[in-house]
Amino acid sequence: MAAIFAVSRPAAAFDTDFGGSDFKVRWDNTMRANLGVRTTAPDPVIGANPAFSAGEYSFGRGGIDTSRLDVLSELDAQWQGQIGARASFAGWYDLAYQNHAVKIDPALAAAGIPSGYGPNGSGLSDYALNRYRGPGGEFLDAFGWARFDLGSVPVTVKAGRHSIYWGESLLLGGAIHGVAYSQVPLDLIKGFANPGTEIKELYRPLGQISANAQLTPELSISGQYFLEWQSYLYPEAGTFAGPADFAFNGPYGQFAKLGPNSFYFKNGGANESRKHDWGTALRYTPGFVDGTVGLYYRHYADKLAAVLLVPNPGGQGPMSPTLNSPLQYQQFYGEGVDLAGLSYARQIAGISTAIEAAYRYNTPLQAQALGLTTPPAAGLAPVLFPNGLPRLIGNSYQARGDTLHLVANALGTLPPSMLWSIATWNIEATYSRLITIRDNQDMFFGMGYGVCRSTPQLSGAGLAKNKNDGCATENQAGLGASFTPTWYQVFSGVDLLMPLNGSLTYWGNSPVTLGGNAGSGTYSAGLGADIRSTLRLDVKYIGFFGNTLDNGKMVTSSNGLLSLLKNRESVVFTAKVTF
Amino acid sequence: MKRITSVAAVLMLISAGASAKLTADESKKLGTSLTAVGAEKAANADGSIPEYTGGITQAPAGYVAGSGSRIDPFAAEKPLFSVDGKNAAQHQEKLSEGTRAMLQKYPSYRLDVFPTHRSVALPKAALDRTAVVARTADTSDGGASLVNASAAIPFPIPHNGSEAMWNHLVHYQPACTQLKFSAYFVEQGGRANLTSSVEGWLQAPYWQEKSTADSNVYLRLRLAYDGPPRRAGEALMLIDPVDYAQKGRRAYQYLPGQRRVKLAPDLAYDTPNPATAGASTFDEVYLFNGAMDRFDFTLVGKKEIYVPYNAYKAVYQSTSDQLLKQNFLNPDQVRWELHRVWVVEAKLKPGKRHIYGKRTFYLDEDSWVVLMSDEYDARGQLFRVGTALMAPEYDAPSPAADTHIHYDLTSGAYGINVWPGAKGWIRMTECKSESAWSPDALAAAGVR
Repeated sequence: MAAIFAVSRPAAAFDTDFGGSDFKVRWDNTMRANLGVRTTAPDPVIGANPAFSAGEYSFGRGGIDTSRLDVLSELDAQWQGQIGARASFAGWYDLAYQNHAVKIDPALAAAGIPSGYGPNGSGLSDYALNRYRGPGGEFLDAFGWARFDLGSVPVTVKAGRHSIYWGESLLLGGAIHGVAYSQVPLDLIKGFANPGTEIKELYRPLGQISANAQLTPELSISGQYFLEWQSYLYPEAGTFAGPADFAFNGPYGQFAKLGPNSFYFKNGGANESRKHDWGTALRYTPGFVDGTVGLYYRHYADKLAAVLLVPNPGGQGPMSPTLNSPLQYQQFYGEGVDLAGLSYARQIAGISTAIEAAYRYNTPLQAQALGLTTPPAAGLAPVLFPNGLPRLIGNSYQARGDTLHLVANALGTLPPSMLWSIATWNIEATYSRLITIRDNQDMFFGMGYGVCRSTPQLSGAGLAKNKNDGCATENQAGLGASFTPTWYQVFSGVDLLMPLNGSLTYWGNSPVTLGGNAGSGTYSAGLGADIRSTLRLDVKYIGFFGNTLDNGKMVTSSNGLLSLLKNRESVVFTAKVTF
Repeated sequence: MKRITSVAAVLMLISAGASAKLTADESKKLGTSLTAVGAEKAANADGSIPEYTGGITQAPAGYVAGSGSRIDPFAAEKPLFSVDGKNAAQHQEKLSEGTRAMLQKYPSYRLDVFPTHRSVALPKAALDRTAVVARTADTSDGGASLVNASAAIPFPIPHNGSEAMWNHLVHYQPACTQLKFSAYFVEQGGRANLTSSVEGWLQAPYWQEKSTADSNVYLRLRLAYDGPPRRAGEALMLIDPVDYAQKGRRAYQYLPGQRRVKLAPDLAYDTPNPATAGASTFDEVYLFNGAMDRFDFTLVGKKEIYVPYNAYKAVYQSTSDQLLKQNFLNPDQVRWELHRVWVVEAKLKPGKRHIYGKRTFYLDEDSWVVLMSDEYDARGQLFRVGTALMAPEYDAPSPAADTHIHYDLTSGAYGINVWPGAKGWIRMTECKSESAWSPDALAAAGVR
């Protein structure tokens, strides 16, 4: 008996060679436990708005906003390095959402106003429960690969569910503005719960066939053809990092007042794209430029939604007959976007630097959250849509136009000193601007267009918006950075780290979705311990900031949805082990 | 006429002293009193270092051809004597500063000294070419770059410290090797943690007869990590040029998850090497690698000292349980021999930054490989002791002291890197195609 128990090593991980080193199998498992505690009390001014109440009141001060266990299991098999397969599986369970009741502002509840999930105190929807409480699980990677020589050209082919991410961008800002925008849907549930998380942890692989050929030692060509489409994963209504009670896939609807009448806009779900994205890239590393130049062309469907109001034939909704639903809102994903991109990476003075430029042709432009696609009253048609009613173009009512995006980043280390053993840092700047509008111009949520005009009629109808409400400005610029000093062997076998992260849109509102709103951003400051290269412990303080408008009692508008998270500060403890 | 010649000879000598090219007199010594690579051919005074007779050029019986896991041709020998803290004083002259400090600090630290075998051998082509190339080889930019040299030991008779160090940087190795090795960090308490498990490819275009690579590249290294589990899937690539002053090292890192490659210029100088949990710096891999521009290198002279040599047992046979003991490698597993070494002292240049203020390197006379190093901090305190385990690849033939250890005298912890051990190997292989050495090829090879 004792002998059996003496074998206490985890038996799960293995790395096996079968028959010499021809056939290799690896199986690794990572477990991560997160415990988050909210440090700020719900802000009654944010919570007084029925569109932002359930998120703000999701957890009280000192409440455990996450108590989550994540498992990532990775299995790789290969034969002679020529052919192989890989599968990864993610599983999760969060006790903080066990028996979690959706709460809203007590005053709203007393007035009988429902939350996004129906009457106050009801539970999350099945979708939100699966994503947040679990137990949930899904395959991420699931693909086969082969490597062979075509003549003298080495070729790699991958088929199945995997992610390919081109260009040189580093952080979330770069993922939105870089050449790889919408190339991989990102898991923003994870991204918002852990600001500063590297984008690689947020990738959601899609079914595709991809290939890379190294034509010459200096020149490589890549291509990919997608077999499926998926949107980003969004932080959902009524959860700790959910900015809006109507968004996205979780809630049933949104309470709204139009004039004297109350309604419950029905959540009409997502208009998923059925198109096949594709793209190609050339990468050139000639001696004379001392760096890598990349040229990219991609044709894709957007993977970030515009949430727009459309008619709901019959007017029936989840709260009928108490509250009718003459309108419903749906997620729209514009198709047929062409992106041409350029990247250049080189080493300058011991620093790894890169720039990217992306031109999006016919891209869906920023739309107002819950923006109208039809006039709520006949008389408002010329007021809202002076250029005619918006049309459904490539699966979306959004305005279409061309945008230019620039990304510049650098990463490096600060050498050993009295202050640290080593410190790593990175910084990424983004810039975007509207070049031209091609269609549906009244749907553009940008200064001088649609509701972002200061006409007396719009103002009179209470519909006029400006840049403080999120209307896009001519230019936008943002910045993200991280700095992590490390101290080796502070205790025997223990390295300490202090990861500091921040991001900020310092100038303007972007013409594209999630491109950044002036004055909004995230920050986190933490302390980590790396124990014997096996166990990693972290404690992090996480917060958001941004600008909202209020009338003293209630937030009436915000510059970007992210700004609504400005009061959701928390401390998160994390333990992570790979075996 | 005769007078003119002698004046010319004098001028030549002077210019040789400055520009470091070999004189006619020096050239004559090569292959006569000196070996083809510039070592003293004769035995030492008391015969404890024998005459050089060409080294071992054939694998001993019992070596499995192609296995890359080398058996010990001297396994039957017994140590002549041992050196420990008690009798260190008697051997004072034959110990490096670092070894003295280790013996002083750890009463149980011990050197088992075996008969000396000058086993290092180089292929004939390399020796022949050295005689030619040595006449033209030179350095530029104050020693930072190597010029007019390839496929040869550039400075068999070095005139200064940087020439000797160039001999180390471009020391002979087979054109293409494949390696499977581990790195461990051993805590001061004795617990050994696996920090890397690696499969690597090393290419030495400097030694390739017909290399299509950029002629300025002398070394290329590509590593794929398969352990510890957290590092599995990581990869990196280093490309080192002879013209450091112009181009410098290019390092690329493959990032799992992103399936992309980023430039990683920090994998150099005194950046702590995560492969040894920070117990050594990047430029301490192989005891010294990379650019020399932060130090002034002085050639001190030659010495006879005890160095780990023919350490096949520790390099290829030991398991981690057998070898990695508290504070130092298990002395039972490590073979030491008396060898002649060149001593090179490096002092931090004014205005340059490095965690070490002074470094002493001990270079094997038969291979030019650095076998020991003493690393001093900014205050001049001996901080770390580097030791490389020489175990020549008799099947090539080639010298090899890839496995190296850094002892931290302050903390008592140490790191060992590029250690094949019982499970790994170092094999000569066919060279990968040129296309394999581009950053995008590194990205394409990634699965995770």
